[in-house]
Amino acid sequence: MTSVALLRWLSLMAVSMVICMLMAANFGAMPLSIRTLWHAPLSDMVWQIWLNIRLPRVLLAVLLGMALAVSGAVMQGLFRNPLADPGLLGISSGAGLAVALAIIVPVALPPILALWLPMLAAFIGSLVVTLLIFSFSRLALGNLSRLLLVGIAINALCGAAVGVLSWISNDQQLRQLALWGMGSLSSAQWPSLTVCALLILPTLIAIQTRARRLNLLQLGEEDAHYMGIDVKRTQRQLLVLSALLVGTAVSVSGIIGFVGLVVPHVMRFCLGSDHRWMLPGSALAGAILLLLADTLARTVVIPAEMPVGLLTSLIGGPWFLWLILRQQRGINE
Amino acid sequence: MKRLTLLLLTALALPTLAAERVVSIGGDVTQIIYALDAQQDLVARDSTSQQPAQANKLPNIGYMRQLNAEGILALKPTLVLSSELAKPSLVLQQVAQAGVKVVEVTGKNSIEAIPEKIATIGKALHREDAANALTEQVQKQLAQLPSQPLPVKVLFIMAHNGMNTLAAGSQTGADGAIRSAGLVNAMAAVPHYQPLSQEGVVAAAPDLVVVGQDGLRTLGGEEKVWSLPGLALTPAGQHHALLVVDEMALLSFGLDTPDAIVKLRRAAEAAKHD
Repeated sequence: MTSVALLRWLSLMAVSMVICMLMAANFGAMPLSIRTLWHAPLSDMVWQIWLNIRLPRVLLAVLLGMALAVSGAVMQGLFRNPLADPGLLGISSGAGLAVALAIIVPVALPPILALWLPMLAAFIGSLVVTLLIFSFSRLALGNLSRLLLVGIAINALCGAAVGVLSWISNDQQLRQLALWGMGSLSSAQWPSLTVCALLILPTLIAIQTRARRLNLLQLGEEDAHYMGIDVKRTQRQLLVLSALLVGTAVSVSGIIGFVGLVVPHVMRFCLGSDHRWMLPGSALAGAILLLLADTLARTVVIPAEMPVGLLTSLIGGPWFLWLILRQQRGINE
Repeated sequence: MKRLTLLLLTALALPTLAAERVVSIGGDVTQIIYALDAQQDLVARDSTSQQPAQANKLPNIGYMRQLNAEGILALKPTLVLSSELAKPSLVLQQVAQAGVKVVEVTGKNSIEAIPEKIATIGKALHREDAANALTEQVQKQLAQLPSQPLPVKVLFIMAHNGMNTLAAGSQTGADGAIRSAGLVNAMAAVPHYQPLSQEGVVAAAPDLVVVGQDGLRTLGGEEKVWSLPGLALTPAGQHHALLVVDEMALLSFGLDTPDAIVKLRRAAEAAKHD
């Protein structure tokens, strides 16, 4: 694809994302169409609800969709393995373990802290795992394939520890933990959104500036080294950057599957494998997918809501299968 | 008759303020609202509110730990009566910020919680008289409990599909119920629900085993209870002293709890004579 065509693709996706955002901001349990808001004075309750409940949620879906898809794309690029996903290195399961601890082990906390406790816990958990991975990758023997094994070990350990915790938990705690594992954006409020934006946006930019280096890493470590890349350092930076994305996303929303695994695939298929184009493409597509899923999550079972992680898989799964089949047909013809 | 007295009482009460639009969160809370005959103010309930049966006809706002702020606000409530168990919740905080009054109802595991719940809800719904009448009824039921403690060791077993069979330690609803009945929790030495272990059960030496109806079904009937690890070697196992209860009634500290606790005490007295 020429860069003109690629640019056209990206602009088309950006426009679609904005349209999706407008639509998502228009839908919800409250009848708050843009028209209603237009006619209501700014001090009105409907504005309060729209500004403090619906808008943060739409923006959070965009941010987290971008974070999940880009971190998946970086992981797949780093490990040169199309099956890598944000959960691969155990970051999500580290966060999960911390959340399980927060839910099941009772600590007396001031109410304001108790409210944000699962989020804080998840962030600390993902940070601890990220630091573990970082320090391991600094060791001379820490090549990437070995790192993958570390990730698998961390996943297994955290999984077992969560198992032990659920084993001693009561029904309510177990249910809360299960729901956390399906993801939800209902914690979208300006404070959490601001923190997310401050962590995610700079990280996305930092990753984008390393897109060319990530392309060269696809040649293999030795060739990339001869092309003048500091391989170890680039790998380490990209690892930590994508871990930061995953950690932030998991803290705010719990585990939302599928976005990080599949969106980068689809983008490679549509835009080719040049990360300079594929990364922003993944960001836009991830945002669109999560926006659609969350809008459904909060409107399908009004006045209740569904876990959004179920919907990302339910929407994304069939579409992904169709794409694979279409590709297969193309090869056979 | 109970209904009638309540109706009379509410009819005699001063005309209340403008009708509230109430969202109720928590099975115990919803049941009390119905008992206070205030159900006409209810606009929605959560998924744990399944008693009385007509509550199921109301819109369901979902599970109490996964609520949707906009969904609740769309019902235009003026009051949210929420069990403490739904807290801490960012969603309820958002609802409160949008100007809806959120009243928290205690979630304590003790018999004192019942009148407290009734009083909180009665006050919030301006039905103090009905609340007083209901509290009196509850106190009457509780008065059937002998005041002197009975040194009978009770083991409460919780069994749900896909989970280990658990014994109720201290700091649980079951522990509160057992102590309210003046009895001893055989597993009081350990906190929360703990997996049943053979030695632990034998050492706890319960005189009476209590299990919920659903739990009994999960285990596969009474015979299976005695084949649980270690149970055959306990006093309860030797006399086959088993009480099957409505788990929700015993553990929720709602309106059905006093009756369930009285039943528990009677069963313990019978086990004592064995």
